[in-house]
Amino acid sequence: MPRAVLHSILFAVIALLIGADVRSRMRDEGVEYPGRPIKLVVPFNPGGGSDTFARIIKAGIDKNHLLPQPLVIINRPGGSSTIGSRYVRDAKPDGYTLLMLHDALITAKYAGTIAYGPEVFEPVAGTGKIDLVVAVHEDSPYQTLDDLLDAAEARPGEIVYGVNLGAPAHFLALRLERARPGAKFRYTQAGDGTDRLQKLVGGHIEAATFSATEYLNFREKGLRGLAIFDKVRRASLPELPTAIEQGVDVVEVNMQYWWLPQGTPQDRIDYLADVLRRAMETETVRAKLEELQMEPLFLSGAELRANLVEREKAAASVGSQPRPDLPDFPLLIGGVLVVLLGAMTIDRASLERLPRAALSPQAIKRVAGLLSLSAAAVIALSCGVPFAWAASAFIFLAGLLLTIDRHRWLPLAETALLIAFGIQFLLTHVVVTDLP
Amino acid sequence: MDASQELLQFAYWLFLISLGTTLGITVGAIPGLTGAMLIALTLPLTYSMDASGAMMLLVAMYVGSVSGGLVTATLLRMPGTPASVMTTLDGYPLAKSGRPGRALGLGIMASFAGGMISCVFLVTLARPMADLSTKFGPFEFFSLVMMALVLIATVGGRSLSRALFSGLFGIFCAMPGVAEATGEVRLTFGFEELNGGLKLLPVLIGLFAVSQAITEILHLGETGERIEVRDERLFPPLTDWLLHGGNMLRSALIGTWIGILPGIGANIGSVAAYSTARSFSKTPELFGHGSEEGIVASESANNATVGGALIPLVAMGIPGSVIDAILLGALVLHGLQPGPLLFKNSPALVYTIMGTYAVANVVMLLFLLVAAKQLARLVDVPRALLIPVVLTFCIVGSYALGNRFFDVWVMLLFGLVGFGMERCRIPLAPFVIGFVLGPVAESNLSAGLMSSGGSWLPLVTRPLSLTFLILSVLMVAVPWFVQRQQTQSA
Repeated sequence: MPRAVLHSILFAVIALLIGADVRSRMRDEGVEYPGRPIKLVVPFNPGGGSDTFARIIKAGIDKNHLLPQPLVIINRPGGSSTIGSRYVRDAKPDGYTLLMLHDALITAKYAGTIAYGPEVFEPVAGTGKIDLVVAVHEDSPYQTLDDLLDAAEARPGEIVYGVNLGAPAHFLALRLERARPGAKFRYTQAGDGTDRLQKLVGGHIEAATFSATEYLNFREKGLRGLAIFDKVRRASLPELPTAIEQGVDVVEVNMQYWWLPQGTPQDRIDYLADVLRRAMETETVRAKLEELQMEPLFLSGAELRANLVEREKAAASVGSQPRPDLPDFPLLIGGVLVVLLGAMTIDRASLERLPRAALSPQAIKRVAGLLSLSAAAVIALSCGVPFAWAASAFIFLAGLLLTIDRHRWLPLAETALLIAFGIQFLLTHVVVTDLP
Repeated sequence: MDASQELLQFAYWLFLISLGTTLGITVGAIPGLTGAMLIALTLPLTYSMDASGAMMLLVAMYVGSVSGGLVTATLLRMPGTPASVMTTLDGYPLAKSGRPGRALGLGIMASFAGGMISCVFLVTLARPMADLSTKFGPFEFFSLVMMALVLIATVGGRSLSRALFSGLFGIFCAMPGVAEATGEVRLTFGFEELNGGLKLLPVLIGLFAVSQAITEILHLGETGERIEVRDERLFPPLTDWLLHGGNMLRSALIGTWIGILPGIGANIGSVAAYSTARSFSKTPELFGHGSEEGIVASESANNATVGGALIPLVAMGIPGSVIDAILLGALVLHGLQPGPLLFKNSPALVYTIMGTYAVANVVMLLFLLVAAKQLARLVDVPRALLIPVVLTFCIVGSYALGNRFFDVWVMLLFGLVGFGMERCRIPLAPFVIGFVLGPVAESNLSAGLMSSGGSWLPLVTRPLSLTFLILSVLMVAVPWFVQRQQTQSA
């Protein structure tokens, strides 16, 4: 093929890509919220109670087309739900990152594990009641809640109780200790519902808190429920007595709350609250909640705020917990690292001569140049320069820096534009990701 | 789902696997681009896919990238990926002696056979291993992770102290942010962004893609001498399969086993199989001068490590190699909990991974048979262009993960760290394994200590835990002792 033809084809493709970019930019301006997929962060493992609930709501929204854009569930487990909540707290307050987190957001603050609580979020809605269940392994000697508390009183600090430190699972156990003076559990970090199940079945913990949904999901795998903490028994779990029936005066009911980062525009909060309200009313969600015997409770606005204030009061009453007594791991590792650094300097003899490329002055110049160019590109991007233009400039300049034959700037420029706009097209139209 | 939808779904899956395999082979064939780089950069793009689609694409890339290196190794004496270093020793001489088609054909055949043999083990071993590991408590997991860290330090590196340093440095770098066990924030030095810790992907992209790109600058202008393949039949005749069958099986077994051992990748697998093949061979003097057995051993073993390394990944959530560490990150990103419960909670996904592995091997065979001759031309892509494009993808990839420029800076910083470590001859693989497994070890140890009331005794009183610890000590002590004996006798 003659060169000229090749160049014109290349130019045509580049022009098309730039055109597509400009057109989508113009379209974006007038777009109404929500204009792209909304991420729903669930700070727990898939398969747990929270995840199950989030997926029910998502199914309700999807099947009834309540959102013009997809709702994408992202599980961010770990750190007693703080990793997920931090992720949303730090997200852009544009209504595209939503957090679903129950009372853990409140309890973690009062347990002292995190320094923030509901105040750094915009509450959107509260949905569905969560009942809590205390369970043991089916081979366990404890048949009733009383048995368990008796044992904890007789052997204080020896019954290993698996919790998510600072989460409602932990708070319930603390309230049990208060209800039975003298009883003391030995708490261990056991992760969220699925992890606690595994540890309970494996015999690594003796008792644990589950949500009623989790208990329903898991009970065939070898769990024995001891008590439920609502005022009355649940229709779906008629065999499970309440704590009050067993003479332990603890009532603890949680709720799934929906949060947006602080500073999200009010109309977007209201929009999502409305979507959630309508989702809770759909047949899809109702039927599923019926099956799980969950009350389709819905709170928003002033009601929601009042409920949150009340929950904060309850959490504050238990008080903060001393941090578990663990070795200072960072210090340990740091110390060993220093020792190894010493060993490395002595160990020179055992090193074979591995071939490695020489660092010529020209190479050093190129490395430094390339790194400064990359840094400049990142700074430009964070200042809001459109991605495709910054990337083409970067590829072109870096190419010039590295190329040995300097007369080939035209093909270089073409390739730079082609690749930069190509990436942009690929990532905005073919696979949807966020570009700088 | 009706039939047409099912067909469409099937076609989509096949498309993903073929795309992944061919991209993997292409990247594997280009010296300077590695499979780890490709997979780390693709992972953020799979964000909008479902988990099974993403795993299909990534696992297929893994298979392709280990295989693609053989083309450039054979025709240019440049290993496209580190895994095919041993192939250059015999592949290039054989090609040079006028039989490039045969050299390529043997390599392709052995790759396919190695992959399929280890696939059998993947399917049969993963389940029992997962069942076994449900018996593991926090102390067992802790000692198992310790063993993995020691293993990679002793086997992977040339210098024990450097490898251990790398592994511990990895653990240390995973520490800032919220501690898994207590939910407390530590070592963030006031950077709010560090609360979530250093993310796996920016660190990996930095260590493997950016540092590699920087290293490539030092190799600007280097080109190999390309051997042209004329119209030769690539697919080896049936007699070859019989002739090399034993060697293929043995090398695949070695590769699979080394793959299962946590932390050791394809390169070690192919080295081990190569030297074993030499000691079994009737013509050991040919090794290094165009031995067919050498090519078969190296290629069969390096593909087999892929299947082997997937076993502990799906069964226990413990990565068998650097790429598996990225796949582990992919599972988490898509909301799946790697570990013993993966089989129980998402059995479909586990079988998707296994199925993808088998299908990708077939696609790899077909694609290489058709395109191997053309792939060698890829080396003509100028590095001056390749490096900026790779860096652009690095920036996109590390940003897309969390929409934060902080991650991009972390990525660039770790590019420098990786480059510096390589210059100081500190291996990178132990760092990655430490970075991934450190938090697992810490949270298990914390949970264990909390449940034992602060006592460390269960580490040695529980039999499985004790076994792992003794094995780890032996792994450090034996090589050290042997080395001492050798230096004394010398």
